[in-house]
Amino acid sequence: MEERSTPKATAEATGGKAPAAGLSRRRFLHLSGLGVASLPLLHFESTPARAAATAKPKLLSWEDLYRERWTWDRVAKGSHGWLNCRSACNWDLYVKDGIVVREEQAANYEASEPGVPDFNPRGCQKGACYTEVMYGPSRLTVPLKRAGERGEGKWKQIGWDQALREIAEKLIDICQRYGGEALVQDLGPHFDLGATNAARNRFFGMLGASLPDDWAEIGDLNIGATLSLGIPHIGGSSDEWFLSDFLVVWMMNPSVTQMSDAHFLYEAKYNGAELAVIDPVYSATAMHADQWVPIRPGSDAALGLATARHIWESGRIDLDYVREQTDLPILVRLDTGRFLRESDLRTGGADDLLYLWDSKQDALVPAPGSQGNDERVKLFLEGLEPVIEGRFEVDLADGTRIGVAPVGSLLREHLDPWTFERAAAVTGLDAAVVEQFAEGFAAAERPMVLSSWGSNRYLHSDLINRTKLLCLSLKGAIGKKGAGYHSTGWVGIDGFGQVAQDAGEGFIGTLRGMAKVFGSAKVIGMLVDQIAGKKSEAQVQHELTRHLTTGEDSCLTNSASQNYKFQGLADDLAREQDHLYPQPLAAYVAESEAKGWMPTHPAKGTRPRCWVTGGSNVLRRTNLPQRMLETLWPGLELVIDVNQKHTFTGLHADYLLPAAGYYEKPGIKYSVAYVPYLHYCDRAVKPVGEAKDEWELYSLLAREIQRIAQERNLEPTQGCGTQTVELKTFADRFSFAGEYGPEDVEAVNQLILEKSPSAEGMTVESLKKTGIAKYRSVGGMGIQENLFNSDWKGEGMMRALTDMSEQRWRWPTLTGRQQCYIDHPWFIGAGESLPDHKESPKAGGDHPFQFVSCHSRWSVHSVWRDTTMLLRLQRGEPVVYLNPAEAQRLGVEDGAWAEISNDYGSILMRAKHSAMVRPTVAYYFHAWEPHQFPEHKSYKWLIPGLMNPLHFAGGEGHLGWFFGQYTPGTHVQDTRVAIAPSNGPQRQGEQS
Amino acid sequence: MSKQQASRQVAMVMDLNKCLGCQTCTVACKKLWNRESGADYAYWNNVETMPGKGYPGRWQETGGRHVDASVKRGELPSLERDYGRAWKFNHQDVVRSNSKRGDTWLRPEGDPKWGPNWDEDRGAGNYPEDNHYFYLPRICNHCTHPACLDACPRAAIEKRDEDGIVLVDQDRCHGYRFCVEACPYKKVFFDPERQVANKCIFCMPRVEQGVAPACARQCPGRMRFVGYLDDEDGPIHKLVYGWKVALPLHPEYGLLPNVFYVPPMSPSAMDANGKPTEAPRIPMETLEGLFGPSVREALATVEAERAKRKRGEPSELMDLLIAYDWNENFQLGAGGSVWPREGRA
Amino acid sequence: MATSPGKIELIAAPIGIQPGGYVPKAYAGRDKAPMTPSLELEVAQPPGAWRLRLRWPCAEPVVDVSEDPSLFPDAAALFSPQQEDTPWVTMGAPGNGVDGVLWRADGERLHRISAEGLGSMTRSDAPESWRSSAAHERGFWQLEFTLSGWASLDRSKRVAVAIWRGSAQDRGGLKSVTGGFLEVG
Repeated sequence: MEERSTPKATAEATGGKAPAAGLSRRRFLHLSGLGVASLPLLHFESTPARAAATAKPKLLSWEDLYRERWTWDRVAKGSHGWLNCRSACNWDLYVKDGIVVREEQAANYEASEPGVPDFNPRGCQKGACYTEVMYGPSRLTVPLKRAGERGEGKWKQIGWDQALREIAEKLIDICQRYGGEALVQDLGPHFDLGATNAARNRFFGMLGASLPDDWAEIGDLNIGATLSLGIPHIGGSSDEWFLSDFLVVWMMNPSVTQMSDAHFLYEAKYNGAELAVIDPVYSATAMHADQWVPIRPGSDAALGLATARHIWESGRIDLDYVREQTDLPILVRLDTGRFLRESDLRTGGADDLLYLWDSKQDALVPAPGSQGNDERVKLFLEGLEPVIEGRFEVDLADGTRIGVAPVGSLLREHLDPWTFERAAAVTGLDAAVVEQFAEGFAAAERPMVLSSWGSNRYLHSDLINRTKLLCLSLKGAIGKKGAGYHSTGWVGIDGFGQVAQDAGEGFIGTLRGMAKVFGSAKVIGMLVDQIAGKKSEAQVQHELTRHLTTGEDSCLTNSASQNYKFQGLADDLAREQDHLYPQPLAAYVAESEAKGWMPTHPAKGTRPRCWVTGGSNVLRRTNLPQRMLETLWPGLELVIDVNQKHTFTGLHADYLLPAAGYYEKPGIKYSVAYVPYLHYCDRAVKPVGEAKDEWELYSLLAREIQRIAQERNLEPTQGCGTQTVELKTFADRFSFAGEYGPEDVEAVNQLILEKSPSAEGMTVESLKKTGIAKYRSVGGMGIQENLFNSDWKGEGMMRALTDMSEQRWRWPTLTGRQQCYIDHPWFIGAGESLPDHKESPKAGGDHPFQFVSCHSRWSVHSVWRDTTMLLRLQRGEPVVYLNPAEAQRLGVEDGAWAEISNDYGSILMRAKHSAMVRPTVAYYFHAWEPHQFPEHKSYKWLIPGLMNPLHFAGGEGHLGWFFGQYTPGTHVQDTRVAIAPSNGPQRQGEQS
Repeated sequence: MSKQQASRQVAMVMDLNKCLGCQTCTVACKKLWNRESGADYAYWNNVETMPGKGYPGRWQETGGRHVDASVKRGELPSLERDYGRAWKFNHQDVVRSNSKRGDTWLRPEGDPKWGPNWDEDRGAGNYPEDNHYFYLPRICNHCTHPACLDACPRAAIEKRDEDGIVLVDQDRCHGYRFCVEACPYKKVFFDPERQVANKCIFCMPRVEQGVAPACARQCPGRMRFVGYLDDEDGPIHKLVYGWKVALPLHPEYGLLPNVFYVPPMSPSAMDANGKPTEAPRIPMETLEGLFGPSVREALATVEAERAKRKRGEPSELMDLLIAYDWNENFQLGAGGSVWPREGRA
Repeated sequence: MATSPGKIELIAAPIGIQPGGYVPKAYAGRDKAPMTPSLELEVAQPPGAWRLRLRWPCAEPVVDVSEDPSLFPDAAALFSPQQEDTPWVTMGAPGNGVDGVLWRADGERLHRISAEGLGSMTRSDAPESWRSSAAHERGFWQLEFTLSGWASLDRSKRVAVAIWRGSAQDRGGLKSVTGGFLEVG
């Protein structure tokens, strides 16, 4: 057939039967083949064995053809197990002719309690088309080996035997030459809590490889909450939002990032709540607000300080609550700014016994719940009437008399200047907006603040979050039903941690492992404390977890200090931020390292030699990836990406191993507390192509290592710390002495369930039918923290923090209380002992636009970022959002190329004009792959990722290294850029 | 011959105050019904950012009906300008490309200028005084007086008696596209490969089994209600006729749509100094332009009932919109809330 | 035996009688002038068949419509009355129909068509033996049909022609037609 534009057209036609294809195309819907099967199932090199979906001739009416489409052979329950989505949702996976043709929410949740909406249906547009990723053109289906230089794009298909043999040999070689810690297992934001993820943790843990904590590195860790409450991951189920009467969405965009939960906000409005959204951007959440607070980026602490002041000055402070639950009555030495400690008052006194002033006795009293208070381990005041304002004198052990004051006095004085007018001047808001918000907060019975992981991306985010928490503390809201703070809590899946490490059997095995690390006395001491009623179960588990992660033989480290040390960022960061603190960043890092506050692996004079990712896409996510490619990458002798799809990191890897997709392997979705159900992912179909699930993959790799070690009679190698690794029995230990073979992924999931109190009674068989089961408790030790609600046993709303707010157990902080005052010398030195406002520094140079990022509605990190179906619902390419008037002024048209530049270079993005954007802000959505930009240079090329040096602090109370809870991180929102019109990529750079 | 007046009418209410703009409805619909290459540009369900051109672009200007409900010659939307061609991408080229040079990057073929959600989050107004936008999900309205049915010279469009669903007979259709022109909502599409028109079937096979349409049942915002208009106990009847808070889109076209919208509230606008005013951010004229003059009263009713709830008083309307039990949003008769677990024979 | 090519003036099919509530109003007045003003028709009768050659002006041919939903193909139809008094302008009437052949420029095949009044046209695959060839040259479509066993034409020796100009969005009742059945035998 000719093109229609051809002037001389010819056409031949005949009668008779048209070709079948033509007939079908002309008159019939392609129903039997279904859309997904008609997708080109693009594979890298070969076509894997898969039944071709052929159109079967059907003698049906056109209406029946529609009906025929909504049929299936089988429905499996599943979810997106390894996906780093902060939600979980249950899906019916419709299988037809061996293919998952579509997915639909199972929607079988129940309401937590009467009078609260249920959780249905849960799920978003991405989950509704994961099959587009699964069968999509970026899918990795066969093992590939680099056939040219790294990043050159030349690949050779190899068989699994060759891949496993070569990789095993290289891993052994690196362990022998550098020690296991030169292997970096890039945990990254892509994992589940089932057997397949446990497999890789177990495998690399057994080799003594470094396991970096990148929670903070990716900007997600709420250190402000750790500082204030001792816990960063706060909040129970999202239906609690419904019960608030004043909801503050503060640095979060639930319409976009929490789609399954957002309805509770809007239903709360119908339930009579006021909804305030604090966001420089008129977001998809702000559009539903009663109050939109268009704040200047990064100035949120000022709004919080004015609100705190107003709560207090207007008499809405909950005095009973703050006296019992917060550090407002704790006494501070006025000469040093440090808490008054027992060790100040008597020689040999404890460093962690703190004091308050009882007005009844007019005397110093050890603070109930203070960590060093063995007499009164709970927070009950029991007759004490501590003052929160005043000034007193005390005699120290050395005879000197000093002044002391409760934190409350210092705080009130600190808040005093923060009038509505001052806050208005700092935030760029009208004072009436500040007042309206502050009054709404103060007047509320149940104020609640939602603060996302994205609230941690300014250098001074910890101050901002401490301020939000302060407002809630003053209102007595934290731990109160329908009120408080939600920053994403976690339910503990204890069994995961146990299967993910080779520590022996069960909890005893874990204890044995820790005893090995710490010496048994410490662990036994903790248990004695619990039995004696001095500590709650949750407290003991919190402490055990912390000690487990900080032991000297622990392979856990943190990404930010690893990046600082090995990625070549030190000079950039010194230039960016050394003027902001009393000491240079390098001095903080050195002191921290010298005092053992913050471990960095690899230590022992080596550096990373092997990088293994499981879809974590480090080159996409890291800041200034050009530094990583220049500095870290060339030293790597082995880069492996075990992944379901091609990613930017994969483009720069040596081996690409095809992992089974989310519907192709059984798993347990990670356990965010927003939804109080465990989500099991069934295997709906066999892995696509030659893909394998990770349990099988690492089992086979373990066998290969053992085979080679036995064949060559290899000596044990060194892991991190003092670990020695016996390779000759490696697979025996990996497989629990042969109990769990490569095919036993489901059985290992069952094992994880059995070892998890939160999953008590759940079985794989029953979960395959339902997909979900309500947790039986909030769990114990996990890689994350539990909810501090020992009473919840699967009934009613799953709330958080009630161990402290209701049972009066102490908070896991130095003071044992909600703590607004931090007396670590670094914090005092930096002027951050109390929450304060500090300006967002100009990172990347003094350029006119703040470069603000937000998570996208269109992807979960880079998964779905390149999915055709969803790109068609965007603009197909990365875009930078600009205020229309401002963009016009700059001459940057909607849809045109814009050059975005700062001191680190320049990149190109398409401009999009949007009235939601604040002038002087350039707004972009997260997780475009660098290979979606000209020259493969993403916005990350411009972002240094500032590091808060105070987060290297340790040595005192709750300050100090704690996996997933207290680590230094990087902060992207302070970045500044310039925007200019551009003609786009150079012609020679363009594709045909 | 088709019959115009159905015995019963199935209907949908969409509460715009709960819309997330997430497009799960769009994807749910696309995955189920519109995967053929001839339908790749077509979205029976779309969500558009308003103010904006919508999808297909400028649909409100493309005619079919005058504002006085009389026939006005309609315009066939253009693929490039109004629908947007379904872009193809170069995934496989990129993974085989030299990433150090970076001269091959993932991008759509051609130089797209428009697509089904091109205007996403663009909106109108000045920051921060009155910048605003909201999401408008659209499906076929399954009108009581369908312009498409009226337009078909071949009587190939049918309004089913049992549920009022409007269907294009895939055998009778000869591809003239008068229906596409005549529908002022531009919700009839044309498959150029098969040369037949098609449109939202209100998930007829599901509705026949008592299951809500995919766009409604898959909505995580829980913003859609489905049921029969004459079911006085159902949420649809209560919201449309009882509380009168759910309104049809462009009632002035006179087609009596059977999809209804609870209009959007919005935060207050600000004056030039950034001080909040009494006016909502979305201008009332914008809402009247879409939903007619009743929108004022509908919004006032919602706000008044909210105020009651704030004072601790009961409100049936707020209970309905909260939708405590999600299954109750869908009232399609016996078994309406029961999801079939097995494949049909 | 063959007729020499004769130039035939075409008229626009009347709009007012088109079925449905839309076309007569939306396109009122469009029938003032035909989009295709004239047609050359040459008829031959090789043994057992009809050969009909059509030639009509068409400045912008539209052939490939498979990707763009707003395009209409050029097309032509011949139809013959089944009875002496079959009404022409309405394409027959109930029980008194017309039938014939439809060619579309995007065509993969010829369609057998029949109708018993406006809006009732049905299409089916044309007989195996029916052939057409078409070419667009110098602003004209040239189309030749070779048709055998067409009973209505064999009997009536009368045929009407309809031309649809795709670039003018001709389709359905929007077409240019002969002013009645033409005597061809």
